[in-house]
Amino acid sequence: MDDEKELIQKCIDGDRYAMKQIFQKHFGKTMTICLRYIDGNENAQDIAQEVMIKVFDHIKEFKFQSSLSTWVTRIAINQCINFINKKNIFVSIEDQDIYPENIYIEEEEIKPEVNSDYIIELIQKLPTGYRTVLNLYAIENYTHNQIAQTLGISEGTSKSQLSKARQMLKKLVSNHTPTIVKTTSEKE
Amino acid sequence: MKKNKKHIDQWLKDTVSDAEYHPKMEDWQAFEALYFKEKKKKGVLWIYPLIIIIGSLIYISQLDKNENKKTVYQKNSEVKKLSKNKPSLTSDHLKENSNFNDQKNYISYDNSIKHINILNDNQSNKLYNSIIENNNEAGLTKSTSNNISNEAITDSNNNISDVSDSVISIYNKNIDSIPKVLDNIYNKPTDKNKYPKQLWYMGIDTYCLLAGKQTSTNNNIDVELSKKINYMVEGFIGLNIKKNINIQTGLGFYQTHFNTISNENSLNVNTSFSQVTNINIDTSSKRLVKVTHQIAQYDTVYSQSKKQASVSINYIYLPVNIKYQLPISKKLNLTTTIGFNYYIQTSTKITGEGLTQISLLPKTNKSVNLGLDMGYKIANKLQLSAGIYLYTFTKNTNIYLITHQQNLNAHLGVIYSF
Repeated sequence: MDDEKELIQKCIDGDRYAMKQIFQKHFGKTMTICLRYIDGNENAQDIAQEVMIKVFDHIKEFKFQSSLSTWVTRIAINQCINFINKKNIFVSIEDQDIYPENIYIEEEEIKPEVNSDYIIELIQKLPTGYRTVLNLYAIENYTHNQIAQTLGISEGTSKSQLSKARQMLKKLVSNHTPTIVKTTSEKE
Repeated sequence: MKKNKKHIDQWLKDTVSDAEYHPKMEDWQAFEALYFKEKKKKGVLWIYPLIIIIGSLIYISQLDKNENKKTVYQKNSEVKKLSKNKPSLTSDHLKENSNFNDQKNYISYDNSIKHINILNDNQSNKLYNSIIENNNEAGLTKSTSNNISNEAITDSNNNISDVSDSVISIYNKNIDSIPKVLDNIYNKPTDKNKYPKQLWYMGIDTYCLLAGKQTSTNNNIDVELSKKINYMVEGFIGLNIKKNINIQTGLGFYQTHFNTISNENSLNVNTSFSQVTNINIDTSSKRLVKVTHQIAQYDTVYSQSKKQASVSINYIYLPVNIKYQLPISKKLNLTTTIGFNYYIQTSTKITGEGLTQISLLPKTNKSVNLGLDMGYKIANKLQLSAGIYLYTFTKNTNIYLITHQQNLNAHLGVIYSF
């Protein structure tokens, strides 16, 4: 933590080497977040660069109330959501369809080559709305209420998008590893 | 064997939350180039507004410091017309502090300048005339009460200074927009041979006050006045006589909504019409640097408000403006301006039922303006102009008061050349 503090201070003082170290430490995670949210590697890279520009522009305002990594992650998620919101891709869905909540994966049957990079590729194949809600709910632990507020949609829309995203992801995983992944709709 | 089932959300989280893209050396190099390029660009863009803001803050701080120490007096005052047979007004503070020998006869001051009544009394007239004749500043200073009420300060200020505002606002707008007309329409050195000998232009401009502060000082008593809305619409016509000389005249409609400090619930509306004529000379030492001498401007303002009948004020301005022009593209340019100005109030006329007509000659006031303006060519002869500027000025509202104002304004208009 002290090392991080020192590094940040050096960065504030304009030390380019310190900047490089911070960049190398956090760009990978930032890029991964952007790849999860943004369609297309080039777009993701642009957003990741914008995130790092914001980080360095505002690093003076970092209060050390959390780790730098958490702070950068938050900026990255916000930047991605801003980008998505600008595209205005969400259509409010008020249908009353009930989507299955419990979709399971049997881990033992997933081949080793289905690694994180591969899963991220599959996530990128999801429509933007599905992908965004899935990321926020499943990985960032947002509630539907928070998602609704963040994206300016209704909770119902958030729920339906999540459910559709789960189903589609499951299908994508199944299609690529048909022998090892089974779909289950049984309720616990 | 029991299969290890995981909810898809959990499985996803476990799989990708620790995933990390491995940055390459090129990533840093690309980012470094982008970041410092952006930073450089930002630095260049912000340096001019920054200079403007710092300059204005320094000026304002110096202005307040200096003015608060000054004694209020009116130089070379001359009363041309005095009211006759006006009943005397009472002002206990003035009575108590007046140095006149006869307590029944004095120059009264109450609530507004409309109440500056000179009693038709031999003794008071004699004393007053002696002040005028001898230009005895000390005499006037002594006759000023140290304890003029806030209400009196506020009301008198509102009656007169809001009228002055309209003139100063129009004036400030003009000095920002006119040189831009010259620059954008035809003043491009590369097009030297294409300059028309004379060029007429006309336009309309709207103006509004974004933020403002007005303080009156009377013997170091500061009174902050409340102002709600302030806007103006002005139509103008101008002629570029030569490449760098132009004359412009315009008619403006101006309205101010404000509360007096004495009565927060009372909304006053002050409506003014103004006629502004000015002559400008631009001198170019370099391609982008302009020094604008606005050699003369003459304004007449007619104002009407609920609280008083009407006021007309004439001004002459003697400003110098230094402008720096940034050609962004053929269609768009930005201009920064810093200007220092002296303006002389040549006359004041107040008319209405029970009011006194007076004329004071002359009053000198000063102001500084800092602006950032944009000119955008919509079509061949049509130009959009927009800008934001800060101006601060100090004026002697009347013999008792000094008023300081710092206003931030924005304007938007179109100019058509023909």
